[in-house]
Amino acid sequence: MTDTTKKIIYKQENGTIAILTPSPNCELTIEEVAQKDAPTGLPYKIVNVSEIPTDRTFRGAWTINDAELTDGVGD
Amino acid sequence: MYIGNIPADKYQTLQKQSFTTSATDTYTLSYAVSDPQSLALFINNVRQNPNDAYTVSNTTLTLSSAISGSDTMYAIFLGKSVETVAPAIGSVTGGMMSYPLTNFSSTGIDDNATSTAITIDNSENVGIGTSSPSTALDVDGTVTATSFSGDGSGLTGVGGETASVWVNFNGTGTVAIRDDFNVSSITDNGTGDYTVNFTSSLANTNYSFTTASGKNSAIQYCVTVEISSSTSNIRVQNSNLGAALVDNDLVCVHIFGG
Repeated sequence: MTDTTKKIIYKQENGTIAILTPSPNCELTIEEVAQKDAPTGLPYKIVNVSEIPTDRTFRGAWTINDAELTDGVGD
Repeated sequence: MYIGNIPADKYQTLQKQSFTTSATDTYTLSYAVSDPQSLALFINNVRQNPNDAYTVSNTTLTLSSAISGSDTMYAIFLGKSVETVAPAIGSVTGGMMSYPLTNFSSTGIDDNATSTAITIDNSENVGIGTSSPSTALDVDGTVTATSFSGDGSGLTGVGGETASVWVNFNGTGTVAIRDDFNVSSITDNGTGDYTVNFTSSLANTNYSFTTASGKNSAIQYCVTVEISSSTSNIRVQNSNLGAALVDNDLVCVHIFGG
């Protein structure tokens, strides 16, 4: 069962952040979801839900340092 | 013992033992005998007188004098009978049976020997209406049941009557999936921009989909449109009537077919 206390983040081609929210019904692990659903070749990081801002006012301005995307690469 | 026709459901037969004779006066009986009168002994087809011609002790038969290998000898066990009973229909209960039941015929179980209703093969697969089950339960026919359990995630080959994918999620704050079927994750691509990722890819992109979204906290007219679709995901965007992308706290996507 996927760990729903985690989310997966990666940087899109336009430079903004995409955030993957795993389904509570999914039987895959968070790592398997990350590898499957992150775009091919893009590095990702698995983070706690609490690390994601809840205020989306400036959602388009969210960014992350590439050096932090170290948990894997999308298949 | 019986006289006349064999009774249909119960009869008895006496046990006979033929001996290989030799120049000896001692032979071994197949069954223990308590006294000579319980045994009818024939030598060269002549019945012998108990006690005078022979005595017995358990399974030991002792003749009064040795015979030769050319003599014939057999015994009828008068105190030993075998009863054969054909149980009446409906009279056999569970305690009278031996478990586990084995040695099913290759054609399975049926009320008609020329066909097969139920087959249990050596892989423990059960076939109903088929003699070659390929899975744990293989039914060749229509299944009627009052309910089925399970989440349906393993269903394959289901027609277009049911949704291939559906999801209900909150697109505000940190995206939260309320419930779904065949969804591994939702990608938050940005304001009002989401990708629904399928757990099991669909066979093709010829699927039909519908979307719906809204806000519980305020009346807001909006439209949700597909941006891209593939066999593994579909990307949708919510926008208000001014064409600006907006986050909604109720976003639903349903896909049929594919």
